[in-house]
Amino acid sequence: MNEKMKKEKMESPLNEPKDCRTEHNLAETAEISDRRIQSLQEAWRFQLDESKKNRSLAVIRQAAETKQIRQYPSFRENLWNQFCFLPWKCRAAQGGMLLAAMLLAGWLNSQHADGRDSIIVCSVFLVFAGNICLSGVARLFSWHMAELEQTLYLNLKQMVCIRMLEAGILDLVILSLLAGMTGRLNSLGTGAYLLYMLVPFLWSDVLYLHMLTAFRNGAAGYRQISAGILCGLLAFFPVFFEHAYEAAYLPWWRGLGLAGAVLLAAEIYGILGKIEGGDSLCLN
Amino acid sequence: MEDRELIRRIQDGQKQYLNEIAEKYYDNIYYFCCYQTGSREDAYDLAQETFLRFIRYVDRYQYRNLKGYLLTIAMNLCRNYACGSGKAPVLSESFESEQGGRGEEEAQVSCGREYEERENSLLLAAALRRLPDIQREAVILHYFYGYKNREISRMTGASYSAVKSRVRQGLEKLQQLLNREDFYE
Repeated sequence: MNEKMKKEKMESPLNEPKDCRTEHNLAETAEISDRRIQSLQEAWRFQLDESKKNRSLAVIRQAAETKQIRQYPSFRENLWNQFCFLPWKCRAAQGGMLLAAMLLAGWLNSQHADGRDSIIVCSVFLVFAGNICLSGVARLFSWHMAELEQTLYLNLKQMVCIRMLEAGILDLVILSLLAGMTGRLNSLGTGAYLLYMLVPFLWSDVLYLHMLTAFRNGAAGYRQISAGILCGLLAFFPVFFEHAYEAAYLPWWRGLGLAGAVLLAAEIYGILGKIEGGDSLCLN
Repeated sequence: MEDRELIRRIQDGQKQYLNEIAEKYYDNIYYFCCYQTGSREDAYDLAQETFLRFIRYVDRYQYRNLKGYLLTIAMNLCRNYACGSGKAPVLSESFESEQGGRGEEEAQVSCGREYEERENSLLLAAALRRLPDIQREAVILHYFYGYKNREISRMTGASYSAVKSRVRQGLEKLQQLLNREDFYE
């Protein structure tokens, strides 16, 4: 018995007097009880029957010998593996997008572009970049790729989650790149700038993800590409409102941003639910 | 070798370390099963089954607290045993008979200390059997294995306050039982 247990035993209710006996009796009883408990604690590990124990261990040894150890990759390995599954076209498009983001930001800086113009250009660019990043997820829902791409370790749901995570990471990189290089062109500050960029991005992602499952049939791939382009074009909507980027409309932007975030979360939840249920997505 | 390293090697395909884990923790698991079920005989089977289950799922196991994980498996097996066997939580015949059977012939040759220890383990098993299952497992894990209430809460899936109260009530009952002169009669 270690010191901690001894201490706990001393503090435990076993040693607390409970009835109305005299102090002397209580002390005596507690002492007897204490000794008894202590001896019980020492004796709780009795001698095992060695032959039975050895028989048991022999069965365990046999099971260990026949066991086939299957290697499960870690989360990091899964992320990397899924990234490697993407075809070179997809990766080239994503790399091109990153490069274009840097060039665009540099060009806007050199031109000292107007804040409004730079926001519109950057937000549309971010929307297209987001859709290209999500093309990894889209591939799973087109041409019956899901059943081909399911790995030994991951099911479709886990794969979609990992690809969405990868797309999110890439989008964040592009967003921070744009915000870092062109954010200062906007007079309303970085927070407002991020909001202007994120609202079209969130709404277009909601539409795009919805179309992934809605357009799942033979010609799904083409329709998804069209949906991606359409969603990107929808990001131009603030152009039709002259004062859309003024401070007075910030509460509207916040509301739209919040609604977009909620809808996006609901859409992702819905997709994962559909995969789980397997009703709307017949893999075979 | 530390448990973390053992698990890493096993998951890398070195299966021989499964035996090392079994040898290292067999006694601990056996005692737990023994006091939880009150049967010395069945405890061997339950301890064996604990390790067989561990071996079955070892490739998916993520190391945290190996002994706690094994005890959790054993705990679930003991719960199933209690439900499946339909044995009432009374003093176990097998525990008693094994002790008694040996006692007859060995009592004369064994020294007084050994005899007292055997008596005590029998007494403890009998007292523990009188506790409700959930209190018994909490008391065993806390008092004999030295786990903190928070750890027991994680192992059993019960809330921290529930575990705390189980341990307190279990110890109180144990004290009452052991203080009764006629307890074992």
